[in-house]
Amino acid sequence: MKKLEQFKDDIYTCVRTRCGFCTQECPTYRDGLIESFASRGKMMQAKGLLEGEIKLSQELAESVFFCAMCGWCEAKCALHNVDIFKALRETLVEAGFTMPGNDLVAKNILEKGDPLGSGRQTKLEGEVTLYLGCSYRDRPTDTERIVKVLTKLGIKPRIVEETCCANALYNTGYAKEFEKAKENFMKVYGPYINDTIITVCPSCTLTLREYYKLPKVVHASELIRELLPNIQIKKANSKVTYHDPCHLGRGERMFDQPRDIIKTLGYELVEMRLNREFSQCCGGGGGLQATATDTVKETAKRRIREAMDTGADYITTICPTCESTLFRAALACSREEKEKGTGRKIKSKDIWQLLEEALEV
Amino acid sequence: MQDKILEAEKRLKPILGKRVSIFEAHRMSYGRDWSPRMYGDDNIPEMVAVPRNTEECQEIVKVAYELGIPVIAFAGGTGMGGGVQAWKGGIMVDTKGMDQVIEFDEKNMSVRVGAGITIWHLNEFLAKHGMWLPHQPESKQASTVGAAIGCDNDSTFGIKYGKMLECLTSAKVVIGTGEAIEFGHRKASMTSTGYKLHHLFVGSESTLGIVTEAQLRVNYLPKTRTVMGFYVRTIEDACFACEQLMTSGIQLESLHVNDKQRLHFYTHSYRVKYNREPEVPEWAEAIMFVSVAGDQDVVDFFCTKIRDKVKDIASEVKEQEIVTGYWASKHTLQFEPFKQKWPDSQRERKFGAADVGVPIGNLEKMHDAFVNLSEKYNQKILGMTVYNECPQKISPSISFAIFVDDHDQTNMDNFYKFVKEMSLEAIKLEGTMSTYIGDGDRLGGFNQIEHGESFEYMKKLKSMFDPKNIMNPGKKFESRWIK
Repeated sequence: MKKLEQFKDDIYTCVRTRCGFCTQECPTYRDGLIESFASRGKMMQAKGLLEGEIKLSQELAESVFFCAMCGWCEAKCALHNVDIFKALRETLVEAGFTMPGNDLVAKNILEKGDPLGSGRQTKLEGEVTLYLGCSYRDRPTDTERIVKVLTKLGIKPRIVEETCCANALYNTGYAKEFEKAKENFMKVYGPYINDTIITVCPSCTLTLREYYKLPKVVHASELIRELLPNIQIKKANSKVTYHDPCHLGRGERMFDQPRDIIKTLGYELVEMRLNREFSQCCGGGGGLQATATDTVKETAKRRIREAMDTGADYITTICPTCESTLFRAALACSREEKEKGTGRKIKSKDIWQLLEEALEV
Repeated sequence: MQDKILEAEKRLKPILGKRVSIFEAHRMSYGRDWSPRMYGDDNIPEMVAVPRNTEECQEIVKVAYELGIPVIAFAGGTGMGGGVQAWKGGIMVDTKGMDQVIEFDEKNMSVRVGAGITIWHLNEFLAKHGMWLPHQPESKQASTVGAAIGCDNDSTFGIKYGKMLECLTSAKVVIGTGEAIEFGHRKASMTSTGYKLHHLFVGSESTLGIVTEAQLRVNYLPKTRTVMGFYVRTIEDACFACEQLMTSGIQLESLHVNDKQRLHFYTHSYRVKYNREPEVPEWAEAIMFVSVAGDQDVVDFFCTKIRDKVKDIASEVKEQEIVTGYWASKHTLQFEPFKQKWPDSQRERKFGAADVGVPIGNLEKMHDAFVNLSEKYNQKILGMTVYNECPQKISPSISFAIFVDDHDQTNMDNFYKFVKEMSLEAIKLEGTMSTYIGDGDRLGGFNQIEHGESFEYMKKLKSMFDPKNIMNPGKKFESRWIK
């Protein structure tokens, strides 16, 4: 229990407190409805392990891994909730209690440098290094759009051979495997790690900046915000709500950059009930995509309903994971609302699409 | 018992699916509430069940009734009296799954909800219609309507709207046999027919049944609100100021008196923002916070009148941040992200309180007893807050709070000795042992001193609703800590 021991103070503070402020909007708690799926329940599990009240087991793993690692609870708290969940996960993985879906992701990352195992690579000659990340590498249309937008903004992106940043391993408790993947990353991407690296995926941004400590990692939204006002664009006039990706918002505290871009494009920006630090997860984090697909769908649909409540025409975001979960959920929710005859609908478009449209002048 | 639990799980699985569990990992999460207990002292239930409606709740209780298994209703889990501690084992029924708004009747200012909806979520819903449920405990982000009924917890706005009792017009309850019965007078605000049986469930701690639905009287949101703070030289002066304000005809929305020590606890956001302690005049022994709400001109008039009425005995808090910080703690809960007063304040010791009620004239004596008994039992004083929670009355509902060391058995034992003596002192001062925490697993049985002969009638009532004594046993009539 060494990994948990270092968080003993936080764990006992929660056990002493039980305020429950972490519970009500926790995406997995809202789906599973049992306390152990929320932060304070997991804190009790951590305490139980520390004191030998409960044992490491597969049933505990199923409960601990039922978490999006989104950090909503931590935003509501004063403790290191997500680090504690990570320590719980690492303790379980070390003892051999894992989820098959996560095992497969780990295997793919280590063997193929890609969580989905496709091994696809895109290469492009250019001047500034663009790290696409696995999600975009697997989506050539999106990659093309990103390159097109950056080029129109005056950046000549260079795409070189990539390997996975292994954020998924970090988040799902595969500590040793993460270290191996990190070594591999440094080997494959080594020649570029001291360059300015433009990132487009929030999870990659978080990993490269915070876990790998690479010196010059810039998320695309930071650059675009600076460059966009100098470019001629076709102004939009519809209403948009923005979904904060957990790793970009709570993780990197980039709340304003995407919002400023949206406003510069001419959209009326309306906020959802839960936004910025307290934004709700799309459901796609923490390994849930590999272990609890129904929960991902339901969580994304809840987010879409919140977006519908704003009266926005579009929900937009700047994360490949959020974009795909929200896109599917927007279709499903709009279909359900049509069947009910409510007239409520919303479309999902990521910020790259909004930018592409605006730059087609 | 293990055989019975396995049998109950077998019967409930087809009805509840994944929402019933005997997994240790799930049960562990329900091992404790916010009540003071040693760090290792958990009461882990034998089963967890999460109903989504009255019918599912009935099925759970029917199985428990047949097999003779204790049933404990769980909600916000923030109770400070151990009301949901499963120290007799049994099935923990997590009521938060019953979180639906069943009917909203704006014209009649009434809403029917599943008991598991949090007060926060209900108010988010009502706010869209310009309304609110004015029963507002500090725990409202976690506390549910059912919890507020079961615990009879505190409300910031009690002096204007009262507490849950004043909001509840009817409730559906699954009693100890598994029958579901509606108690109350529909949407009418009052009745003079029959007995007001639904009142029995307010503060009953699920010992008579599990409230599954509630019909609530709601109000229009006030257009504007002003909160003011005043330093006062003594607690006696604060009491006098309270009386002055009430008799003047000003309609107060909240009226709280804190002793000097307690202010530290409520200025968390001030310290987060400025990284320093607020400056409080040396002479001030008490701080009074007042809010008024309504149309702007009415509020302005009341504010002028309040300042005028207390000008000779109180000095207004000029640093608005102190007032805003207090109000964030009491009502808005707008804490800095990644920081929050509750965990921040309890890193070393645990919050604990004697929540007695005494008539206003005996408040200072009660405060003296608090200081003396804290010293006698070596309890670190956190301070006093006096809430007024009856509509239009000075009605002290008091939190005498301390920090307990939950790694020191002697200190923990002394905490309950402190609560015991505080409770006895309150009775001596013609008051009550508890005004918002309830009996929980601390005052049950001991409270016979307060209730005298009527205690036996309470027992008879209990057996009528719960003939097999399966509903939250070990509460109301029995205590783990105070004999």
